[in-house]
Amino acid sequence: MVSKVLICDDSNMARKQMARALPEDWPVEIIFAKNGEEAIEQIKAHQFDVMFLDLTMPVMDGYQTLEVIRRDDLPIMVLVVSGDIQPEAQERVKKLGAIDFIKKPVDKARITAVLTEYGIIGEAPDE
Amino acid sequence: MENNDTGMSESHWFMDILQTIDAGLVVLDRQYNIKLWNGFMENHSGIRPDQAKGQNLFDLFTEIDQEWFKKKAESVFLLNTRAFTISEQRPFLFKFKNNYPITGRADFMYQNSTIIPLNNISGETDHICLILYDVTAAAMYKNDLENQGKN
Amino acid sequence: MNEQVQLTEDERDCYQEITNVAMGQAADRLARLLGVYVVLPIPNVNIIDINEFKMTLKSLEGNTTVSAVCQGFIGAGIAGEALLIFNDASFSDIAKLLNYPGNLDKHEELEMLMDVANVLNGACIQGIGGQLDIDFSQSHPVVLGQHCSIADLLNQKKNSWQKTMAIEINYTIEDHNINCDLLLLFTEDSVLHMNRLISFLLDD
Repeated sequence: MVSKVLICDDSNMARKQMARALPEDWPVEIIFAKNGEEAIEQIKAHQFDVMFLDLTMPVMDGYQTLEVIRRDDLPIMVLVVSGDIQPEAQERVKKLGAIDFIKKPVDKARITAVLTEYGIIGEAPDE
Repeated sequence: MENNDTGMSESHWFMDILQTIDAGLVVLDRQYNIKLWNGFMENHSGIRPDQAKGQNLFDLFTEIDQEWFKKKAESVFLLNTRAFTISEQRPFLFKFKNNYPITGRADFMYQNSTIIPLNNISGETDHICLILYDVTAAAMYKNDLENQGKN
Repeated sequence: MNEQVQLTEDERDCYQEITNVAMGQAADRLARLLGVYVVLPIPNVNIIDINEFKMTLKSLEGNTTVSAVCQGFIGAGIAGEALLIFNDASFSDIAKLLNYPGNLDKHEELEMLMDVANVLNGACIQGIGGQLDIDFSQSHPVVLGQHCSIADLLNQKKNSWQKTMAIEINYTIEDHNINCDLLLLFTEDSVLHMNRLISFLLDD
């Protein structure tokens, strides 16, 4: 069963780095979004297993995106991936509904651990 | 047991400090080959320790006046005493860029240096250590004062 | 040096992202030091001409409400300066956050300025170094215009450089009247060198 992943970041390089940090043996289909607005459009159009969300983006930033997801009760698990690692930022995103916070630069092992912890990978495919 | 650990921590600390200190450290043998090259030297020259070690100082840095430097250094080897170079005599030993390449006024780094003897177990000075100091700021003030006097 | 220094979109994006992460680390330290929340915008990356830079200096010259601290950094063929520009109105708020007593004299203000600059500059420089695997040497913070007037800097007859890559980051602290601009300025040689270094980050 192929998982669907949404990677939202205004930086092309960061999107690529995030994609490369996903577990190698995980069958995924990745969709990219350049800002929160694009991400929301994608979420409304598809069913995702998880979204990796940056905070500092133009048009609609990470915080605003989380607010919209919460307000509209959109069904998606959000992992925030950001360079903004200050304590307050981490607290705010969790309060806004993100399930966890991952620091940039992203570490492959950490990504795998988080995905496993929240049951996004590691389950026997149930079709 | 504890003494050993403290001793090891101390060595480790010294190593870290020598690597990050704001002064260049270069150890030379009798033939002026480089035996030690610290972080300051690496960052300002762009030459890594593994590239510097074993090389002859004058081959790598042709801007150093060999005769002049050797005269100073020989006194250290022979007399087991310190020697000094100051920017007023020669603006620099190594042609490094100014630490403030954008807002700074100096075209290069002005340097003072101290050359100290390093002795082996038999008490002979078979190595020397060149300690390099950045004195660009002081050199600039002096220039300014002198120029003011001229006006 | 005849190779023209320019940035492709990919390179610009890469520097922006590297700076973003480094800024985050710097903001984290400041946030912990002052117990505040630092607002982080997207950094601006541009190649600017010396004349444009001189305009920035000119705006600082004779302006008693603004102070600037610079710190040089160098390592692995990359050299530059971090220039932190503060609005003097920020001083009293920063002092309060740092628990400095009452009214500061010029001396204490200067020291506080250097301390904050050092935290921000240092974290940013090391943050960038960390991502490029470079251990930068940092020089002491120097207040611009303290040792020689900005007019003197502007009046230099010969220009020792023509272009610089300027990365501009604006830090604001929420709920406080604190605002400062950090300009990371890299020499032309450095940019050419860095472009080579980051090409591995850009490879697919």
